[in-house]
Amino acid sequence: MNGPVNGPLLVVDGLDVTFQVGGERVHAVRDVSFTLDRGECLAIVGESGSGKSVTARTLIGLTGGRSTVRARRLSFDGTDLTTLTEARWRAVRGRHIGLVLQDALVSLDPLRTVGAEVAEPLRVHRLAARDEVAGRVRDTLADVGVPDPARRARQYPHQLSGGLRQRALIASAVAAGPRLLLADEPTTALDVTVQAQVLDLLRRLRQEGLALLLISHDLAVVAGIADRIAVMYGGLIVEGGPAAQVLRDPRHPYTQALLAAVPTLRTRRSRLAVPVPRQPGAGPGGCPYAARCLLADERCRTELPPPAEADPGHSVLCWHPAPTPDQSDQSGPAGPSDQFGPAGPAGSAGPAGSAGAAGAAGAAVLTVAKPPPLAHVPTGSLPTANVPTAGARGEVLLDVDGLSKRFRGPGGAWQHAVDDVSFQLRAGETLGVVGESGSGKTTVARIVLGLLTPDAGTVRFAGAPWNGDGVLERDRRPHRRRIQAVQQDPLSSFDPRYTVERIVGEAVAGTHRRGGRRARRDRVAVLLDQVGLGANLLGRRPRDLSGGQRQRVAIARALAPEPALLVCDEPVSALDVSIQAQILDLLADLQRDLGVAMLFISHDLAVIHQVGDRLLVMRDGRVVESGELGRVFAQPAHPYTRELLAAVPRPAGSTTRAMAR
Amino acid sequence: MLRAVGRRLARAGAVVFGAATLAFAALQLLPGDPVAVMLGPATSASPQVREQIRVDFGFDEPVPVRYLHYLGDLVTGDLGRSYQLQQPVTTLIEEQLWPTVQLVAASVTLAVVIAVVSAVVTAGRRSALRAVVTLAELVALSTPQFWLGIVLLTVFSFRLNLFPVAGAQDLTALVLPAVTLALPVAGVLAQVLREGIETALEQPFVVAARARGRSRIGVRLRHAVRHAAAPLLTLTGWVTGSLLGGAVLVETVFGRPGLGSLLLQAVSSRDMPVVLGVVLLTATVVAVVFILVDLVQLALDPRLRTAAAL
Amino acid sequence: MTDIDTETDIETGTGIDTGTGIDTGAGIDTVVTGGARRPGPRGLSVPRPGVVVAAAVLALAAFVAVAPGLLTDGAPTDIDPGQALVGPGAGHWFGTDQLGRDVFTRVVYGARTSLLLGLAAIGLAVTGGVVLGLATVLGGRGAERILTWLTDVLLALPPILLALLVVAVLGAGTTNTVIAIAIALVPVYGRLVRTEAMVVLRSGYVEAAVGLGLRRGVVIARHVLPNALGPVLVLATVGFGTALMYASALSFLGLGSSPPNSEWGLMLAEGRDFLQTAWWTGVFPGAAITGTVIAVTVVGRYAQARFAGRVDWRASR
Repeated sequence: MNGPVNGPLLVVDGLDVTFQVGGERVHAVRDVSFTLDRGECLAIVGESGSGKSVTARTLIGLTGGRSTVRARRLSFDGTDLTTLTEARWRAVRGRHIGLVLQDALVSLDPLRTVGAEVAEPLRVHRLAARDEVAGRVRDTLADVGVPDPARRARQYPHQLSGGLRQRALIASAVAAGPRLLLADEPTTALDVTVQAQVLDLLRRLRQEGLALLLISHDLAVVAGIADRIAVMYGGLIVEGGPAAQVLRDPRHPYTQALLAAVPTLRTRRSRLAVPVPRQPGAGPGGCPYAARCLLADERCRTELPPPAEADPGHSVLCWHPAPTPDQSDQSGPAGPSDQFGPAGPAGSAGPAGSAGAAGAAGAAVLTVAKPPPLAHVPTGSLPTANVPTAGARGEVLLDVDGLSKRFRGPGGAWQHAVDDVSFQLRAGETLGVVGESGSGKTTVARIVLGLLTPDAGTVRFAGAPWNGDGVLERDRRPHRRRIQAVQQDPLSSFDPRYTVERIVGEAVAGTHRRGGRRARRDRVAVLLDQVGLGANLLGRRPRDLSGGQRQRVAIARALAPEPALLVCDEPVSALDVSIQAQILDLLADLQRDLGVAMLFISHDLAVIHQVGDRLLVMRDGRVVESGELGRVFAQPAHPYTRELLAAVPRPAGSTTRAMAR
Repeated sequence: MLRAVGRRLARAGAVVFGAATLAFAALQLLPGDPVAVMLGPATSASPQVREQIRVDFGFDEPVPVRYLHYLGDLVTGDLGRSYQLQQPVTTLIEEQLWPTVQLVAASVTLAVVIAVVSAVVTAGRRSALRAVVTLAELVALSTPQFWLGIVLLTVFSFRLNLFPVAGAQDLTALVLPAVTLALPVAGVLAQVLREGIETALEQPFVVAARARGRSRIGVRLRHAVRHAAAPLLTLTGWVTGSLLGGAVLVETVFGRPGLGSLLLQAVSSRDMPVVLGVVLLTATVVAVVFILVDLVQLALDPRLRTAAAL
Repeated sequence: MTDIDTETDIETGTGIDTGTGIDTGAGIDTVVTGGARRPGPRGLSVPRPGVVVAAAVLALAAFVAVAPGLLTDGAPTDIDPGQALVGPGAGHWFGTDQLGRDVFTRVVYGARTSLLLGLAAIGLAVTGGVVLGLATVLGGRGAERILTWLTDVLLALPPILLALLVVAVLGAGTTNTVIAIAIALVPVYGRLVRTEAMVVLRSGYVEAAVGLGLRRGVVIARHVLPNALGPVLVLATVGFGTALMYASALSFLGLGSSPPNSEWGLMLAEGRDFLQTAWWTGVFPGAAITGTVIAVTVVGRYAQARFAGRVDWRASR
């Protein structure tokens, strides 16, 4: 561990990790190899269960008692990590390799002060004398951008905002001056603007010479910081190479699907998800992605492809890697056109990103259809027909006027959750509401749903009083079916004792009273089919469904009473990006076919951009900006909107970074 | 913080007041003539004597007046007079208090020691020892104290002659009753403590602490134990009640003097003032314990402090 | 039903509306996570063989209670002064008591009384608890305050003391024992029902049902009651053991069953006087109580763990 050694800082070669779960052996990481140089950033990207987190844990020796770790070579700065004893590992952890986890609220001990946590590595490794510790803690906190570090050190994690907390967690990981930082989803629980700040901090630490292994589910997040990207699926690195190359010329079908699934400006009103074929999964020796892959053939299912180099330094693990892109097709998935804001028109610039100078192109940008993300997958580019235009909208369906709602916050003071919010929603239209945590967007949704009574203001629905001003539940109840909700966490919105059939059936019951059980059953089957689920799920209970299936059932239930308005509160934010893409596609299809209006609430501008007609930007309970979606994105009037737009991570890699400011 | 304490005191006061009212209501519900109960079935007291007792105890007054008198007496620390023993209830309780306090204190200590040792040693491990200890705890917490006491008496006093059969004369007489009272409580405490430690050890902050170089033991001592203390503390009120209630049975089995024996005797002879005195005392003790536990929780968990500083 | 949870949805910036928990879903969407393991009360878990043994013990106890005559020829009240206090042996498996009654026969016949006492008490307690708990939740603010306070008061009294208080008022006897134990346990179940019902009332599925325009009564009958009751009933299995134990305790203290009944607690009390010379008179009935309570606890804990794994809406909310 002492003295500089030539060669990369970290070498991982042929890493295999298996877990003993019950009587089963789960192969979590398979033959993973990569290197990391000093001051370099490698991002490992994959969805949950891909083995990315396990890989990170392996590098700090914390995979747990039921794991078996094997590797041809696993060395850090010349030290062989595979042979370390627990005592030697302890000397490495925190001192030479640091770890940052996702949610600082639970990753910092809630019963200890922030200062005690940051001081922990100093104390454990005896790096500072007793009387120096406090000073070192203050310096470290100041270094990661925590203002007033002396006071913050005395506070407890729950007293800090999410951003400060995450900075404190990073401080505790770097306090002892490690040379490698493992960051496992370090920004996932954060608001976009805060996420951008934390990414800036990580970028700076890297520039100061810290090597960074960044684990994320989000290609867009890593795009702006990683030098190289490794995409993991089913425990394998399926594609790896320089960040710009992987983002611009993804060769593996999975990487392509991931990139296509990220909603961006360019993808508006077009399909995001790559269709998942109904086909058998892979055998034990086959490619794990074969079950979802459009290109999968018999060989894929039985035989794992050998690693191949698509370009120098750009490896891909696939029998059918995408060919080198046609030079005329510059508007690939990583083209510069996916710019938010007044950056530039689509498809007119090369990777150099000179398009930024072209200035605002207004709404015209928005209607550009997404180019085929996969040259050889024709189904990937179906543009959605019949996009309702601004003029074709119906009458006012929902009229919200001067809503206010206060709650007693922690600390006892009354706080405005919603403060004088007014807006209108027309039939068949989608109004997106974007805001960060605490913006009041969920409270607005609950008031619109009639689950919460406002302190002031009124909601009128289809011309009649709906909420506020003394409207009684008794009067509202008969009309409740016309406003339905889709929530973030569908599982909790299902009675755990109910099967899918009963869940949807309960919602059907009021509308299809006549015809009896048989007709109701048929109607449930039709609804399930509408949301892309087979009748074979009728007897399932919600907890036996996958996250995407659950959300589809929730949508089916919401559609059952044939509502005029659908209130969607963060309907996709708990889902992996590819599933998120499918659900967004589904919602868009349903709205087109059924003409239902939507109030679509999200913290994610890109998601709202995908489905919205108009946009409402909320902050601290107030509406700071509203207007036609294209106008707001192209010419944001309020500084906060501009800040939000700037903070949205983009998957376009170096191109975007060059253009960002 | 002061407000937090004040609010808890008010709540405890409400509980004690409620218990007192409940006790008074129970007294009113008592079927038959209290004077007859007091004199027992075998007396031939003259109507004059009966009337005198009636006036002495205030039975001739209307219920609301008696209720106010009763509350007034309680505030001044007067729990009334025993029907049977013709002594103030407070005097009776004072006489019997000490042996019970001894018994409960010894049991608490024993239970906590057993629980901490068995939980800390076996938490988070998958060993045969853990299985055996878990089973022993389950048996301990399911065993009726009166039977456990009898078995211990049979084995250690009658067979082995190690401990006295009855009484509370010295410390050796305390051993078997304390063990009897402590074992079921120890079983519950050990399970809760182990659960708490194991839950804490699964938290992300434990991974984070180990990633900073903390050893396994260090993580347990510096992080996990404090988190495990919270669920344990919430049980303290239950433990207090359980020990005070169990004392009735244990004192009966071992023929020990104490509040339990006093209470049982009073219940059998329907000597209501004594029954109510003991019940009220217990409720007060439990209510006070609840306050103390709450305050210790506040001291231990900064998140609660923030919420409580309203 | 409108403002069910006005207190819970404060957007405090610490979570509720961040829309984050990325990995909460079931992962790869095409894979069905049927056997997803959910955390049960781990520390309270019981090894599987133990559950089988415990279930067998319970089955035996139930069988004996239903048909005691199949296991023994004699009657529990057959007196034989010539055979008083005979030790366990071939003639009398568990020996005889001071009146020469066969202890084994009396233990067998005592099963019915003891089990029935426990069953009646816990049944009454759970019923009372459901009424009290639901009244607290649904009764409006005034009722909630008063009932919560009443529950607080009753919970401040140890169950056995509360039972003694009730017996002091009502007098000794089998029926009064059942009532006393039920009253002593009602606050426990009342609090439990209240907690469960509050969780369910704040759940997404009740919200969804309200959103469908279902009437309050329908929502409560269809969703709140069944879901709140599940965990309560599971806990009541363990509570059956507790009630059984309290019933025997009251009999042991001379306040429950009275001679010449054969009830385990009573037999234990009678045998206590002969411990020095005839340990079997007390030990066997006591072992019957203990064995049954342990078996009930083991099975109850197992049910609890299984239940927590099956529907864990707590974890999903």
